[in-house]
Amino acid sequence: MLTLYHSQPTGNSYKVRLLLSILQIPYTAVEIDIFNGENKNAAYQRINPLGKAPALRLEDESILTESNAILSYLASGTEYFPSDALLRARVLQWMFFEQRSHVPYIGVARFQMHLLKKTPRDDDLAIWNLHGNIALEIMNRHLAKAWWLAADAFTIADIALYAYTHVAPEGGFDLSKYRGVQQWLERIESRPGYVPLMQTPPVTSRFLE
Amino acid sequence: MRFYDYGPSQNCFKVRLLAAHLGVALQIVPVSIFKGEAASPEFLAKNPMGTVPLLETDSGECLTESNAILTFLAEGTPYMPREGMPRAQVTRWLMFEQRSIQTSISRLRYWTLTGKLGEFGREIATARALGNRALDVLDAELGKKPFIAGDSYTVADISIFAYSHVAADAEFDLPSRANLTEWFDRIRGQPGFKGEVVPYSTDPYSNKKLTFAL
Repeated sequence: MLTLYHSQPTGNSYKVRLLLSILQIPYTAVEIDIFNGENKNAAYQRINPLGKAPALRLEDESILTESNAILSYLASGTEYFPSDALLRARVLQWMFFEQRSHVPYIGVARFQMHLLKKTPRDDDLAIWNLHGNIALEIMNRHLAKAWWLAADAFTIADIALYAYTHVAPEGGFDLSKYRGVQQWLERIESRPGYVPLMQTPPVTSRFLE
Repeated sequence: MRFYDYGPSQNCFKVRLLAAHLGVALQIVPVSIFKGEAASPEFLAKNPMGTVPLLETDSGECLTESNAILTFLAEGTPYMPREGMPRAQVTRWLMFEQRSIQTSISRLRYWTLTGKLGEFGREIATARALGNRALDVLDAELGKKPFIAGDSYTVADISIFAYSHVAADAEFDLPSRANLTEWFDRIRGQPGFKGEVVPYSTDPYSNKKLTFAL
C-alpha cells in the first residue's frame, strides 16, 4: 500500500489526495504537523531531507517528493496524463507555470494569512496581489475559450492548479473577476471522486517519531 | 522546428544545450523581448503569455515553458527516462527548478545584470534566501549521486545547470559548494556539450522594461 505523508490544509498535499481519490487508489495517509515543526524532526528528515510535505512512499520503500512529480507518477498510464508527447508536454507546461507563477504568490499568500494567521507586510501583499492576479488572468483568458487547461479533457494540470486557485480568496484574492476560472472550479467540483480539501482520508494516522 | 529565442535568456539556453546534445537542428527565430517583440499580436497568437522560449513544431503546434520544451524534445532519448520512478525523479527536479531557482537565482541575476535591482525592495531578500537554500539542497544532493536525478545525465541536470552555474552573476557563493561545482564540470564534459552564455550587454535594449502581455 502507498503511504502519503501529507499536511491536511496545504494545497500541495491536497492535490495528491484529490488525484488518489479520483483514481480510487487506496493509501495510508500520515499527517505531518508542519505547524508544530514535525516536518523538521529527524525521523521525517530521513523520509524527506527537505522537510516538506507531501512525500509519497512506494511499496518498495522509495520516496517521491514534489507534489506535481507525484501527480505525474500516479497518473501515468491513465486518462489524466496523456501519453502523446505533445499533450504530455502541454500538461507539464501548466504544472511548471503553477510552480513558478502561481504557488509563490497565491499559495504563499494563503499560507501566511490563512494558515499562519499572520498580518502580511504591505510590500509582501502588493507583490502577491500583482503576480497572483497575473496568474489568475492568464488562466481566465485560457478558460474563456477552453473547458480544461492542457487538453480537451480533464488532466492533472487541472488538479495541480485547482488546489491553490479554489482557496485563493483565503489569500485575499477576489475570484469574482474571473468568471472562466469560477466555472472551471465548478466543473472540477462536480467530477466523480472529487473530495474537498479538509476531508480526512479514509485510512489515516499521525506521524510518530 | 522553429525556436523563438532570446540570446541572454538562460531558459532559452537550456533548450539550445539539449538541442546540441541531441544533434537536433532548430530554426532559430530571435525575439527582441525588450523591444516588445514578444508582445506583438503575431507572437501572442503563438503564445498568449508573451514569453520565450517558444517551440513551434513543423505542424504549427506551439509549446511554451522551457522545462516542458525540454521534456518534449528529450522524449525517447537517454535524457528523459521513459517511465516509472526514474522519470518521476526527473520531473521532481524540474519542478524544484521552477519553484526554487526561477523564483530566486533567475530573477536576481536578471535584475542585477540589466540594472534593475534598484526597482525591487523586499523581493531581493526573499529571493536571496530562497536561492541560498536551493543551492544548499543541490550541493547536498550532489554529494550523494553524480547527477541530480540519479546515475545518468538528464534534462533535470540541463535545466538546473542553466541558472545555477551562473549564480555568481547575482553574487551567490559557488566555490564553497564543492559538490555543486564538481557537477558543473561533469556536465561540461558531456558529449556534445555547448554552453555559450550570451551576455545581456549584447542587447542594447536590455535595460528597458519588459513589455508584458497583460
